[in-house]
Amino acid sequence: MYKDDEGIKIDEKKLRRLQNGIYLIERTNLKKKPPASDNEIIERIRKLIEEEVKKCY
Amino acid sequence: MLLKSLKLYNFRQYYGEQKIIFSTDKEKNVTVILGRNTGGKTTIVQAFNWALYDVISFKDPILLNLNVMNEMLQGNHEKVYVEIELTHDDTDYTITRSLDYICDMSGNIKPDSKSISKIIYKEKDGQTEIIRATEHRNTINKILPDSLSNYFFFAGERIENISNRQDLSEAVKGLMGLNVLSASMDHLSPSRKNTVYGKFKSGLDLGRDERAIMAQKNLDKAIDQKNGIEESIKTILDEIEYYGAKKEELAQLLRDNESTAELQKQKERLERQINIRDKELSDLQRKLVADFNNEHFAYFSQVLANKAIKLLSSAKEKSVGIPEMNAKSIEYIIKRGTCLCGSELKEGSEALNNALKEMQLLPPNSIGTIVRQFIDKAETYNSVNTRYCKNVVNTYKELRKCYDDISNMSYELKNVSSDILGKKDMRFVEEEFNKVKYKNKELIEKKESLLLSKGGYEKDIERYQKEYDSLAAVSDKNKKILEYLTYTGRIYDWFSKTYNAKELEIREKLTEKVNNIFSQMYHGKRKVVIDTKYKIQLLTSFGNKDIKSDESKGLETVKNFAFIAGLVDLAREKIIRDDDTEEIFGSEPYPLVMDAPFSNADEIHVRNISKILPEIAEQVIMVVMEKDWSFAEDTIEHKVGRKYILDKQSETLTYVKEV
Repeated sequence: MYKDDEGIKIDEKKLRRLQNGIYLIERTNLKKKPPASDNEIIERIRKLIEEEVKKCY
Repeated sequence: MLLKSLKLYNFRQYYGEQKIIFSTDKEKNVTVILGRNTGGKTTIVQAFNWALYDVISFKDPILLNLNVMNEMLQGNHEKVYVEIELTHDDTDYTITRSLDYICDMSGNIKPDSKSISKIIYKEKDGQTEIIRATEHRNTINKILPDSLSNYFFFAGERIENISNRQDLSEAVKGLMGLNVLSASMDHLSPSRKNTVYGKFKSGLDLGRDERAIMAQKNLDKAIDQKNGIEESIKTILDEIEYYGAKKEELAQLLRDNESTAELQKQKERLERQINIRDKELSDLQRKLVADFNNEHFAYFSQVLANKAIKLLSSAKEKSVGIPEMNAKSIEYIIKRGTCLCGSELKEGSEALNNALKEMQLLPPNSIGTIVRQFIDKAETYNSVNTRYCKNVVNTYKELRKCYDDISNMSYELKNVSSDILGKKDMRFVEEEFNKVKYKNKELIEKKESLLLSKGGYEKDIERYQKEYDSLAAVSDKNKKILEYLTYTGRIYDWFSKTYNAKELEIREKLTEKVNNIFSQMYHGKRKVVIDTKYKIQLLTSFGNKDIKSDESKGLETVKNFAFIAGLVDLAREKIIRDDDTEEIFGSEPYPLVMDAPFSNADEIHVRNISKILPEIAEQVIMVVMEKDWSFAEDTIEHKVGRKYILDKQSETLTYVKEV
């Protein structure tokens, strides 16, 4: 399904930050009344991943 | 979720506005509402169902109070509503459902339109908002899923309404806080196009590289095929579960009715044997008739012959004359002049004298030889007849035995049939069992085959993915996208593993809690098992096996109590992730609203249940009959924060009074 580490280095800290960030997005959304649409959430998560991956720490 | 109050306005027998405020005290968390039979107890629980889910189960669907209805004139409108105030996830909600009734020109009173629901919520900062009508259902299901409502709004007298066939897995997972994980998985999934993964992938630029385009096509095709197989596997697993349960049900039925099955086999055996003997009887009858027809003369003549032999045997006339010889033969010899031995028969010779003497012993002079011959013939004739008569007698004896056997077996058959009367025909059950067993085996084989195919496609996907990635990573843009895809895939895997682990943990914990609570409530020995769809079964030990056995209504009550108590208890716990992040998979405490909870339970169970429920549920609301309350009062009185009585004035009028 995806290239698992072969040639692509995974930064574990980035990975963890992304896991938490995505969890927060989803949790907040489920509490909203009404919740955002799937497309909105997908877009937010996509941007989050892009920005985090691009960052240099 | 905590219930704060329930307001009824002209709802059924509750005339005008009547409000019940529930205890939300942590220590005294029980609210008791006492009422007599037909006093309006069930109406209270039904009010919750109507307000939240627009569901009523009254035989008469009219909700408007009859006194109000009687006072309506043509053209008048009257309203009925139920309002619930509750707190869920730190938010206060007011949920109101109302229905307008109109008295038309003919004097008929009917609803003017469908019921209307209104949900207002107040945030911590005090701001109030109205939830859009299209979001009401989702909001209510987040607070308390519809599929679990029968457990949280428990009707003891209508225990058959609690379906044990419903798939409660989604509802329970929502309750336990796993919905955040499952939503994340849905949005990240590499298997679908409209997800984060799908969006990144669609950004890859393959240019004019045909090999890359082909690799992508192959990859997409393999993913689609794998998804298709996964769907089929899911369907087959459901079927396997269904047929597995059916097989167990039939096996249990066969076990319970083993003696009936034996009797049925015996009945079939007897029927077969009677048929065989019937045929033998027919053959014997035919043989007897045929033999008799052929030799009946012998049968009747034997008696006469015997008599003749007896008479003639005693006659003096028996002689020693030469058999088969008569006087004429001797005359001829004499006339010839030469005896048989060659001697000359001259006059006065000894030979002639002997011949003449012999002639005297023969007919017609003497009938002695005739008598002797007759006796000889009669005896020969009789010996043949005797054999024949013996055959007839034997045939007849066999025939009689056949009759007796058939008669005995028929009597036995009658007894066996009467024992079986009214019981299930185990032959059909056994046939059905064998069919189901075979079907189950077939499905398992099919599942194995699909799993193999799935494995094959997974290998293909891996291969095509590698090929695709190596071809796609020619540009910097693509390299970046591949990086995003890798992270997305890893994050998805993490959510998926965490979800599966937590779901299993929840189910195991729930099973443990339910068993623990059940053992405190029930005096016997049973084990509770909960399957992947959160259906509960009670098992009894039978030898070295655990088997399902019948449940009385009382036992079913205790089982359902234990399940819901386990669920409520588990929902109070916070399931903490086992790594070092700060996030917590939170959950909510839940109340229990029970209508006649003790109606099918005995004294001991009532006390046990009363003791446990306030410890487990954040809030307990009980609507009980006074006679049932008397068993529970001693155990639970110290936990009662609020108490009400339903004061029934008439069939159409009840008032709620706080005590």
